[in-house]
Amino acid sequence: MRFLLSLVFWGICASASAAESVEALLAQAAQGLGKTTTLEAQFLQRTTFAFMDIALESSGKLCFSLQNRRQPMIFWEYRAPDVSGFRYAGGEAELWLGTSAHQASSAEKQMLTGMTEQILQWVSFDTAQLKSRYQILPGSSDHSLKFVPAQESQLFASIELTFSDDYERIAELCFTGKNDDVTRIIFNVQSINTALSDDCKQ
Amino acid sequence: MNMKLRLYLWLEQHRFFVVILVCFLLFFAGIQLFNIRITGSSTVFLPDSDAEMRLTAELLESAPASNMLCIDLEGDAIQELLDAAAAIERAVSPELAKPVRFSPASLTPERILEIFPSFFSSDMEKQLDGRLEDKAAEELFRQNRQQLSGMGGMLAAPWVRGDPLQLRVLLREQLPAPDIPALYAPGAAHYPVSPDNRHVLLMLRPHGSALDTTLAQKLMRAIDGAVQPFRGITVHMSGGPRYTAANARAVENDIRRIALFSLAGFSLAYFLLARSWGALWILLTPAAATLAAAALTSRVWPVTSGLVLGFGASLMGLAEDYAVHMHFALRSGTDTKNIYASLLTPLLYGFLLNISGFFVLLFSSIPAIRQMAFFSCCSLSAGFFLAVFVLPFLPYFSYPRNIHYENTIIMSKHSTSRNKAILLYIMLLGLCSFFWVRTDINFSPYALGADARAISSDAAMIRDTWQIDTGITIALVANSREAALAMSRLCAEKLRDAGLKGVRALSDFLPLALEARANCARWEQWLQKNRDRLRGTLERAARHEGFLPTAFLPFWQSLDHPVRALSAESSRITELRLNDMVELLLFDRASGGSCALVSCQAPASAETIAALKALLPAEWQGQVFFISPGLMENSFTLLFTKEKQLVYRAGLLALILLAVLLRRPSRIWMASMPPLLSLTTALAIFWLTGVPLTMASLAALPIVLGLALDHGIMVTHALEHRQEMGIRRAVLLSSLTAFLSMGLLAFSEHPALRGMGLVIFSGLAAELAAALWILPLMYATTGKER
Repeated sequence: MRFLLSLVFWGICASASAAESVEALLAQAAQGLGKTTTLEAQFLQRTTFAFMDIALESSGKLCFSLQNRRQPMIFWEYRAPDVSGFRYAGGEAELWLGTSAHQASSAEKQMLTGMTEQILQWVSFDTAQLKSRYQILPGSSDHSLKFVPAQESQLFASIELTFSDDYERIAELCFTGKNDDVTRIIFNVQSINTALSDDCKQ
Repeated sequence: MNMKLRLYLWLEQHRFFVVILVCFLLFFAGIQLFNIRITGSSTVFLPDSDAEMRLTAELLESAPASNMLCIDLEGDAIQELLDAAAAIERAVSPELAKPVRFSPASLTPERILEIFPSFFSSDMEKQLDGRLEDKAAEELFRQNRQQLSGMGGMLAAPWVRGDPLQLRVLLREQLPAPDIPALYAPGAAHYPVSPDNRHVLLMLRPHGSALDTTLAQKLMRAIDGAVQPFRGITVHMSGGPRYTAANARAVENDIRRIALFSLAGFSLAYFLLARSWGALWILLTPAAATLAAAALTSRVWPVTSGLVLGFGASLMGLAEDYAVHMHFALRSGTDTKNIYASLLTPLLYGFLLNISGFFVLLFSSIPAIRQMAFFSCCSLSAGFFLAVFVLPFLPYFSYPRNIHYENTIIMSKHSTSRNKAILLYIMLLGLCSFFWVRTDINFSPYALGADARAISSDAAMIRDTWQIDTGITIALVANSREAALAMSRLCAEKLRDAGLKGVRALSDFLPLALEARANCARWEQWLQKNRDRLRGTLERAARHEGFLPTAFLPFWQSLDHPVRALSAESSRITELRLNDMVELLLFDRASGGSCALVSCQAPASAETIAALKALLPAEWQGQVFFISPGLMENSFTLLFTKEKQLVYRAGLLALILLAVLLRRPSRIWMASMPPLLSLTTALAIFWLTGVPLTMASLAALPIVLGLALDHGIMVTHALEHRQEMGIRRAVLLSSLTAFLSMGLLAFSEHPALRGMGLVIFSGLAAELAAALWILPLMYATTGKER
């Protein structure tokens, strides 16, 4: 009986401490990420699919500026093995594939707007909104959190965010798909809250 | 003994037989009512002679697009708008409505090969042959891998596995591009987003008629509840269910607000003026008359218009009038036989004059007006029949007798000169004509709806935001869906050849059954010939790009499914989720056969329609209908304007009959004074307030004029014969009950009810004054001279 009670007791303590750690991490991340106004980073993306015998690797550059929250700028470019990307600024968007670039069509622009909004929501790390959309669980490390969509998502089964030691940036993003496909994006931040370099242009 | 007395004695002798006969008739009328079929269709308001317009209206009602509800969500945050659209979709249960999808983007990778063979044209065959070249295949697989390693890799995975040859790209070229600026973002459930990111569009197709008030109200409640948590969002809606719900809500509010006053006033009027158990028979009379009229109407017409029943119910006050006069007259003295005989003539005159107006309307070209006229004739006849042949012989009806007002004749103590009376009459005639000419009449059905301004402003906003083309739609009718689709193909070709812009037809992308079968046969031959080559090419290219041999298993499984050709008749289109696009443009008609729609950008004018007609094959005559914005509204307006002639004829017949029945000019002046003053007052009120007369307010005129004429005849008769016969109480009670039941509608929120109420309110006030005050005043002059 005592043994059973102790199990229950430890169970309660364990879940309480997990919830506390999630809350603490969320608070630290919100405080740290909230300060970010500009960011420039290189990224390495590695995707594994169960139906491929190789992992697909690509790398590129991410820049964003939130100095004017109403008109954010986002630059996302894959540079290897193929060049493709988009730049969204001041309500205008440009897309490119290889060397051919074009102004985004109306439909493409809307899609990029939606995507930009999604990215900015993550960057601004609005915990109240995140809690309404995701079930938030402890991640696989001390500095990570796992987000499971509250409603079924076509995109992914979960996202794991790993924060830097100072919680001022996201060090790694890991999407797990429905078929256990995994996309991991590792960021190598070059600068935060400084003027963006010319590299953030196509 | 005169005939009227003999009639009284005979009826008294056979009263049990008459009462039992009437009970039987009412019983059978009640049974007949179980078979009544009520329609809310607008086609009954269109003339029989105009088959084209009737069919156009019927097509409009059958078209699924007519029922749709467009919901535009406006706000600053696009994500919030998309969330609100999704919340509405979740809140609206499948029994209420389903969301409309215009894009075939909901095709799944597994289903591409179910639809692809039907579109496999010879051009597509050449393109696919090219894709089997090693270099082309490697490039295709490099693209596949690039998609997988990009941002949407996980989303792309099922497509790459199920459709490695990217057949979807070939197919998509055949399918229509969305014709509104739209965002089909992954996970966004394909809600169109406006170019300025401030609007999201959601379209719902209710499961039921747009006129179903319960459905419309449930739908609106679900939508309101779903968007409530989204504070920064404004909702604009357009479509039949919104209109229906707005009207139902306004009517419910009005009933809740007015019913209590109406009921209290009604009871008070009966308590103060009647104070008799016999009065209960009066209350039953209009109900019995309406029952009989509804039963007879449903015997003559297989389908009865709901509006006719509504109007018929409002005639209850008129049907009750004869019973009220009979009741008070019989109570006013002990000489029942003579009172009955004396009352019979004016009652008969009033009845004949009332139905004469409706009799003329029986010759209307509009079935609904004929139904309305028939219903009114039946209802008034039943009311008169009951009042004259049944009620006087029922227990308590003629009691208590000898009440205090027995012999007080309503003579005025004042008198006026004959010239003044004539002058007053002429002046009234002049004023009435003036107001009739000057008062605006709006026959548009939209003038009858609640929230009309907000609804039309929302509709205009949605039209502008989504650049919804308001050109001309051509409806092509045929015996089968396939035949209608073939017609739409030819029609679209002819319009394009003539240089018309914005021509859209379902047949632009949906192959005809013959074509689909030929395409499927081509696909099967191609597959048979190229299967091994395809397998080899895929394996080599896949290996080169790092795919496992099992990676494209879903694709090979799909290839093994039997090929079936798409056809417009087939339910597989629905299964393939092209349903909304197909069903909105190709649908079955309620009266049999099918209809395909072709739209084009052209000004909606008679000249354009004539030019378009000339472009189409002559043998299609009777199968082609043109639908343009406001078409039905304009048609209704035109029709009812033409029907105004009938109203003049009805008035003329009533005047001639009045002259023939009453003979003496002074009697005619006096009897016609209350209706004349009623009409003048009602028109003056509308003219002074600037409110136009609508169909509803005009429909209220026969009620007021009928009562006023009855009262004019009855009072003139009482004055002439110096017999009070309870006339003052009868006129008061009859007017008050009509006033309390319908006149209070003048305070309604609903414009149709308000218009109706305003006519009754002002008209009854005037006729009451005319009957009880002006007529005795006039009689003091004309009577003395006689």
